[in-house]
Amino acid sequence: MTLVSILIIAISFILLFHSLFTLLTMTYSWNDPHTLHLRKSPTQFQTPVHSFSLLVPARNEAEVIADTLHAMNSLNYPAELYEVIVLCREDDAKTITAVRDVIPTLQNQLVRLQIVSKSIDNKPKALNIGLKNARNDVVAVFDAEDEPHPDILQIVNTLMIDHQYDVLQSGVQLINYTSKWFSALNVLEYYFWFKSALHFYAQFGVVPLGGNTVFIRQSLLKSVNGWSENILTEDADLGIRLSLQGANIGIVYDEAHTTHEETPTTIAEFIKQRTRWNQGFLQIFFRFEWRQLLGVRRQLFTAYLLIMPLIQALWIFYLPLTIIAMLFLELPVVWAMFSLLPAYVLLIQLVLYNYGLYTFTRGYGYSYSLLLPFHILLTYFPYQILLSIAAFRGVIHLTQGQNTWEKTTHLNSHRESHAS
Amino acid sequence: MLRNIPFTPIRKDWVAVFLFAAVLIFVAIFHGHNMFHFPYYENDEGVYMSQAWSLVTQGKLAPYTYWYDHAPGGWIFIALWTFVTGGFYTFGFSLNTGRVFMLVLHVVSTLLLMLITRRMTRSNWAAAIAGILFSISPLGLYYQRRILLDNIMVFWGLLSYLLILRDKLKMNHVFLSALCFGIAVLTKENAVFFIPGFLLTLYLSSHSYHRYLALLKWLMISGSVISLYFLYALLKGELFPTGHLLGGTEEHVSLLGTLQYQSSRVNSSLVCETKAIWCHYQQWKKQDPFLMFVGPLANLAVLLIAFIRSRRIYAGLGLLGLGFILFLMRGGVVIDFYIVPYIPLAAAFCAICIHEGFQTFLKAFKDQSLRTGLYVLVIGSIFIGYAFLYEREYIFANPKSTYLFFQSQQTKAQLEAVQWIRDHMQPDDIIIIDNYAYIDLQDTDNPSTLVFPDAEWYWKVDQDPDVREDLLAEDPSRVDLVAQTPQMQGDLFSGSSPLTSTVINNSRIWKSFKSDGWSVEFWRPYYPHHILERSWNSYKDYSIANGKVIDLQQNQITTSEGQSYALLRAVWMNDQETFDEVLTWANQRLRNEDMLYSWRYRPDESGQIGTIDIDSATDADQDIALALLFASRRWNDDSYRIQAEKVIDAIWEHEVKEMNGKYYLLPGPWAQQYPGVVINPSYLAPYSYRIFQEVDPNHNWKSVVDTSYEVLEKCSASSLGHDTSVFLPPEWCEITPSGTARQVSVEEGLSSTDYSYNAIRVPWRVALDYQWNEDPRALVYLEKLSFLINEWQENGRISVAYRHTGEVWESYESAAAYGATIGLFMAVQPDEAERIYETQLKQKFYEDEQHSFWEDPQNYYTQNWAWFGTAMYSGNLTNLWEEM
Repeated sequence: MTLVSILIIAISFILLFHSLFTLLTMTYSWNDPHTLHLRKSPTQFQTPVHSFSLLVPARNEAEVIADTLHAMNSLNYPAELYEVIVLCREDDAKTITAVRDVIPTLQNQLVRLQIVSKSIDNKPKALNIGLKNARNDVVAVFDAEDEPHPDILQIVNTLMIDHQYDVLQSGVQLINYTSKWFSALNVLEYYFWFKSALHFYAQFGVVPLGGNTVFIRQSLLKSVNGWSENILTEDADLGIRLSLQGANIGIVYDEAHTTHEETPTTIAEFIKQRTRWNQGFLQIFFRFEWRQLLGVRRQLFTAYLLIMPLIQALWIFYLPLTIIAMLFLELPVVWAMFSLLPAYVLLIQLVLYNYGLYTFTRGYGYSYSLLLPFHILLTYFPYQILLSIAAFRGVIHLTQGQNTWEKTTHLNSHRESHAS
Repeated sequence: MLRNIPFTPIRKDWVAVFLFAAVLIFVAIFHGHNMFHFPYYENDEGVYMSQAWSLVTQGKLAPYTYWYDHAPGGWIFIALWTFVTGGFYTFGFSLNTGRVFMLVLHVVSTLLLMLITRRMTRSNWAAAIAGILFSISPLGLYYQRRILLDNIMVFWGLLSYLLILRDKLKMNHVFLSALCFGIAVLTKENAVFFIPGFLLTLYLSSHSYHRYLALLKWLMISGSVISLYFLYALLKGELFPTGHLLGGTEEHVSLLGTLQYQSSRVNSSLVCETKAIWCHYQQWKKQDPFLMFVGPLANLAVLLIAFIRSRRIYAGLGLLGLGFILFLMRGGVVIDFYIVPYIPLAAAFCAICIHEGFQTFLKAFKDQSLRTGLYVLVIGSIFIGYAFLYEREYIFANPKSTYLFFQSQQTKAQLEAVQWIRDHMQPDDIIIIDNYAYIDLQDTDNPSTLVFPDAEWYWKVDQDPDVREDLLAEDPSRVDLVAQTPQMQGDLFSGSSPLTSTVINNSRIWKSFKSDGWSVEFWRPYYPHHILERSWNSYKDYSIANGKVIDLQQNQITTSEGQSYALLRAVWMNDQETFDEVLTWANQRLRNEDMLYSWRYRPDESGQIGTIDIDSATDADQDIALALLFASRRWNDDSYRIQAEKVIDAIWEHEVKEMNGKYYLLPGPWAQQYPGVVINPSYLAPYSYRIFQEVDPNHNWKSVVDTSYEVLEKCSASSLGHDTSVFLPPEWCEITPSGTARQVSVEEGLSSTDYSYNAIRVPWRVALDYQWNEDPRALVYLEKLSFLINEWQENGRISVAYRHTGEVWESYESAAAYGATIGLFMAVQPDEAERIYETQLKQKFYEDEQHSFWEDPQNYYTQNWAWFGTAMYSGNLTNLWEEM
């Protein structure tokens, strides 16, 4: 066998494992319906005990911040048990103005504006300032465009009492699945990630937390010195570090209570966002803190989780190499078959995405168009290419030491979509 | 929940563990006892084992071109089994390894069936009844012992079904079930007819939360596994048939082509002719009246119960059975063992019906021990009922016998046949076999270490170009043996291998083995080259001792003629060892100082010391010289030629006479004394003199060619003192100095003018010259021998001796005479030559276990001239001087 053949087989092997793993995590939530209640929101709430500090870092969010603060101000939770801290940079006059304009209009005066200096140039730094100023025993993070469910604090309070969680990640869901050609698949990624994959990871006690609707005991958060300020995915990093502390991390995803978000507005935005995430994961990997996790299985699992972007990047080589192999290389048939197995799993994923879209629309009360399967079919492979490009770009950025924050623009389209 | 009844996992139910263990021990003993001896090794068993063997030893899916007749899952599994158990011969004969695998699979399948029935009914006793019925059925036992893909498929199917039959079904179970089902289809494709039953079961057993995903995932995973079969074909360029837009024009096997072929095979009749389902059903019902009659009824009852009594989960199992019944009734080809996958289902249906009957009618009896007692009674009845079935005279035995499954030695004949091949055949022989013997004859690792690389399965003789074209060159005569079983006989009768049928038609039974209604017959082809080879080998054993050719009918004398014939046959047979032995003996005992050979050697009574008649006979000398020249070319050894040159020189010196400027061949040096030329026409071999001329250019051998034809013409045409002549060559003749032919009158022994044992050789020698050199004089002479042709055409026979006038002198026939005459017919009447060969040479060739001979093995003259005639007829007398 030639070197190219060996390369193809090696890549196929890695991708097969990866795609099977992805398949497993995608469908984990459906695996055992008899434990479904453990992953859903409680239907009856405990008496409010926990107090919450909701941190809302906002930068260039003048368009959306008012709606967000209105929503947060009227949560179904005793006003004395929660506060909202909006973190704005001093040079972001528009957002500051928008916040100042909206605060007087709010019924409960729970919202505080915390202006941070220009030197605070990324989200984790802002969050750490918020943490310093947080007064309550549980700290939560929301994004400026988020629209938390009114019962979210009731739910978190109940779950933290019932399960003694130290950390709780609630579902975040992109909603505007019809905005762009790639939106549906982007929405589905979130859907499978929060509804299913995170539950799978939680089994191992290792959860790369999301960027918002995450609730952490303040004492624990402070014990790990808050968020890492030079990691592009500070949320995922925090999850790993909390896992190292042996934190009891819970996940809840209930269509009725997820935090709604919007998909990136352009392909460029999408790729930028993904590049940042991929680079961030790799940064965490190369810090090797995961090696301190208890047990080889957990260490390997975490390492694998963190290098996923690298594996994702292999897809970009896989398709052309496989075509070359089919046309020009005389691979033994068994190996040729093997090299096609990742494509098989990819096709199964494609069908599952359709199933996911069906259940997503049912779960969120949208109508399911019969054209959607065709839409998924047409966009699936281009979308995989976007993911691969972003993964590849993340690797390049990492090797070049490029560490700037490529912030995503928010247009409030998730609210429009929801409204529609 | 499958049922609204609490379910105790088996690990917590000691009654179930004990009961199931007891059933499994019974099943293992019942199936395992005598399983190597009954039933006979079926051809298909050999096919699957040989394909597993090919996978292990050659890395190929089949030893022959794989043509997608079945997906390979089954024999991949068998190959894995051989890895686990240490190869193909751990249990003796290679097929026994597969039978042990079937036993293990059956025991596991029984357990799976019991677990399935238990989950359905929540009853350990019902489960035990299902397991017992599944295993005790003679119909089942007959096929379950065999290495059949259906048995392996049943295992995967039951495992797959059990996985989705859970109260708390998880997607992991669905995934594993789909995987197992995919493998089941890749083992035996007819598993696809279970899909409706599986989907209904999955629908019923899954939670509403993931029901559709479960169905989707099951279909996708099993579909993906199944599609690997198509992917394999696609990557090999063998998916689409030749001639199809995507299949190209180059001839190749094709998966879709095979599927098309399989689906187009339709039963000829739906009534009761050959392969119709009704016929098979009658047959199955004979073998197990209970399961085959009650089973389908119970199947329908289970479906009814599912709806009437709200046992919804029964509907899934019922549909499995119904789907398979519809498959059997679809109108396509049904083979007897197609029933195998239905047997566990029928057993389960019966068990469920018994259970439901008890549930319905014994409600009043709360006492559990009474119910247990009734179940024990049912199980006891099953044992007693089936004991009667096993006791009856069973149809598969001859002579019929009882308890056949546990006493018969039906495979004995097959094992003896394999051993016989090892003992009697040569490794380079081409043998057509039933595939049961394939591995044990082909595998270099077989315990006997004897390998027959050209032992080929009869189905492939015509179908596989590697065998048909490369090994056999489409020539049936290349086959050395056909080992025919009754199954093979049936297949050949239906036209499975015309080439093998042709071989059989040109063969005779050589040896046969029979045991309990099954047999192996060895058919030995009688194509000319087989006859030549086998008669030569037999002649060597019988008539040649340490290089001395013995005439057993004449006081064990040895003649230079006999030595010369042996030398010629040896060189034509490419048998240098015998050639050298015979030559050495002739040189040591018969060769005179003049380099010619004494014509006769007589042993004394002890057989050790002989007396020599020192006169030489020219025919033997010239044949020895020709054989030596051939040997020099065939074996590229000049020492033979040097010796030949000396003999040729001596022949010219002593056995050729000049008269009137022409050179004539004398019968021996002694004939120099006569004023004319004494001729024995049967000595004249013009083909030899042409070669002698090349080797010995200093002498005028060409003249001897000319005089040979001249004297043949004169001696045959002349009345030689009689009233007339029918133009037959005489035994002796004299050419006078004036050039006319006359009867030799000097000595009584030379005066015979008959066409008899000497003279019969004339047509052969002239015909050989015609074959090699196309001398027109040869053809003219042969055409003039019309007397013999007329005799044959008018009387259908040629006597062994005639007077010169045409009167029959000795009226009996002899293969020697026909062998010596056949060349005449080949030149003049080729159709008659074929008839003579078939009726006089082939028919008069006999074989027993020791000898292969014409008419009488002691008659050395017949053995030689029938051989020379057969060789001439079959074109095996090549001019080695010219062609090597």
